Amino acid sequence: MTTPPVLSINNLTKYYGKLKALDNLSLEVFPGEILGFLGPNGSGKTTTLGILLGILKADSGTFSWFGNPPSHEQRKKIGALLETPLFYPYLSGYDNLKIIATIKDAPLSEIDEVLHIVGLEERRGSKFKTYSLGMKQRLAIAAALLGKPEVMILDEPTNGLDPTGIVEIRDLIVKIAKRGMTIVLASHLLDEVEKICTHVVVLEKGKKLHAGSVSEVLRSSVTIELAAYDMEALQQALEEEAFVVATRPEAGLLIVELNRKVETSEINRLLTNKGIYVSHLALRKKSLENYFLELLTEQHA
Amino acid sequence: MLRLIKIDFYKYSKSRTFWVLFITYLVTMTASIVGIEQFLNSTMLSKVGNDSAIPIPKFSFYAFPYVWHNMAYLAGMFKIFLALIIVFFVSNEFSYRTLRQNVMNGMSRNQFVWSKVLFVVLLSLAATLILFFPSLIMGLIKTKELTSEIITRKLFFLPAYFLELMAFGSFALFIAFLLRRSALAIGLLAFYYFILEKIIAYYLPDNIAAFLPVKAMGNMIDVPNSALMKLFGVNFREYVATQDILVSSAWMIIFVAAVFLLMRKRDI
Ligand SMILES: Nc1ncnc2c1ncn2[C@@H]1O[C@H](COP(=O)(O)OP(=O)(O)OP(=O)(O)O)[C@@H](O)[C@H]1O
Ligand SMILES: [Mg+2]
Repeated sequence: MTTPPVLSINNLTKYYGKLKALDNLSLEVFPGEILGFLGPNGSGKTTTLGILLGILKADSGTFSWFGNPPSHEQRKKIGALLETPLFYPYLSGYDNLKIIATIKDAPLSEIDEVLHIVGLEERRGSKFKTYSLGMKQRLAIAAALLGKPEVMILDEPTNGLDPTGIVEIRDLIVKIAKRGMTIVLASHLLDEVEKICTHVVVLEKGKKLHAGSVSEVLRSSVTIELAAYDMEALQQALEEEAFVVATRPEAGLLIVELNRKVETSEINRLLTNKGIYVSHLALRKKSLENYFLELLTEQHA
Repeated sequence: MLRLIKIDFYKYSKSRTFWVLFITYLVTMTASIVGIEQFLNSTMLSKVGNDSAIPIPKFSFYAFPYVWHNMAYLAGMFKIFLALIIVFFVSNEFSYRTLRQNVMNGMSRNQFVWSKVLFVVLLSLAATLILFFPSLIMGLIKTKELTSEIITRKLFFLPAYFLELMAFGSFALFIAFLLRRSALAIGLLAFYYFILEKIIAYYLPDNIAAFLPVKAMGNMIDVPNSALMKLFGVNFREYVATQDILVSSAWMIIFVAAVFLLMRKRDI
């Protein structure tokens, strides 16, 4: 028996005037997953999350949270951060959270807890408009944590944070995730996503390009990089081999994708037999970033 | 409902702008009520002079039961100020995008609209009290023979004034939700109030123009009769006409319903 999804999206389509921002998007998120929601600028990530949060209206399609049709009561149990922090500029951080806690039916005592978690307790009394960008972002995360949510939707939560802040927020997300919370995280920081997420979905122009688990993505193939005096001969020699899937030059190196794990010494021996002496040979760990770029270039080819 | 009021209380109770506007209104209103008689009499006398052929009767506004009518009419002239407060704070929820924040954190769109309707109700209630107390005090000071009957006889002008504010406030609410930008909304409201409706009314027969929103709301409390006007044989209505109550209430319901409709399908 499989557990029912926390979130399921069925054929969402959304137009802005003539522009089709979402094109029949379907998706399921299961309990405990940390889903990286990826895609280039303008691919429809924020639009999708806005629909899920009741802010934008889809033209067609449906979605359900916890197996039920969407309602405002459910949103009280979703911690959300969308694009930019949205607060009353003339109120302090604390007073802003008081409004949100009241909306979410959360006890006011939680406010100091969440301010502590994001490290804003010292500035709790300062007006929001006097906060730096990073502090605003932290306040938005604090707001999302109010009401002990079961799911979190984070749209670029590290936007505007300094490197320490990014690491802190990443650790925070990992900490939250360890409590078994389900998280949807839209981000352009792919190595962040790689470190945090269990699953990824890639969008382009409102369409789903790929969905799967991160380990699956990173395991799917092996990549090596090589260099030799005669790069063309090198490329030719390798393309003859059965275990080679694809080759492409990149910054003075030849990048080769293999369909199975082959020892580098074995490759070296093969090439030497063909009279090619390599000056560089290394196994390249596949990163999400490479995968992402490959996926998008494949799409355009 | 209490929760909605609490949320809006948190939003406004610490806003300097809100208190500056509110206290300006309070002070202006109280000063106008207390000072209007003196003011009109002295400007009148300085214009006509003391030795005019016919004796000009002095204004006296504060005697019960007429004080309610006189002051409600006076206060009605300031309602545009309250409407601007409403437009300003509602359109700010759009420009700060806090409407988005409220909704994504678990407010329904309808609850948000209700919270703003409640804001209009409470503001109208406060303005009615600001009319009530100074008028009561002036009446108590200036009326020679006080009986409870004479004090309460024309008290119905207060609920009429409250309805006028509610209806006009709903109009302001509608414009704010429609345009979402404070400068634009304030501009349109002022333009419609001061210019546009007057032009439309000019081209319509009077009995039809009476159905226009601002006109109907303003008609509810007619110009009070002063001794001077009686001298000229002018006689205005000293009661609140049922038609004006019905038309104003209808507009109020239409504007509030339109706000709910606007919020149903739109991206926010
Ligand atoms: N309010 C709007 N009006 C018109 N078009 C819009 C609006 N919001 C978004 N779009 C368009 O819809 C498409 C999807 O935008 P969206 O913000 O969802 O992208 P995104 O994936 O979040 O991008 P980013 O990574 O830059 O945040 C874009 O082409 C964008 O220009
Ligand atoms: Mg976005």
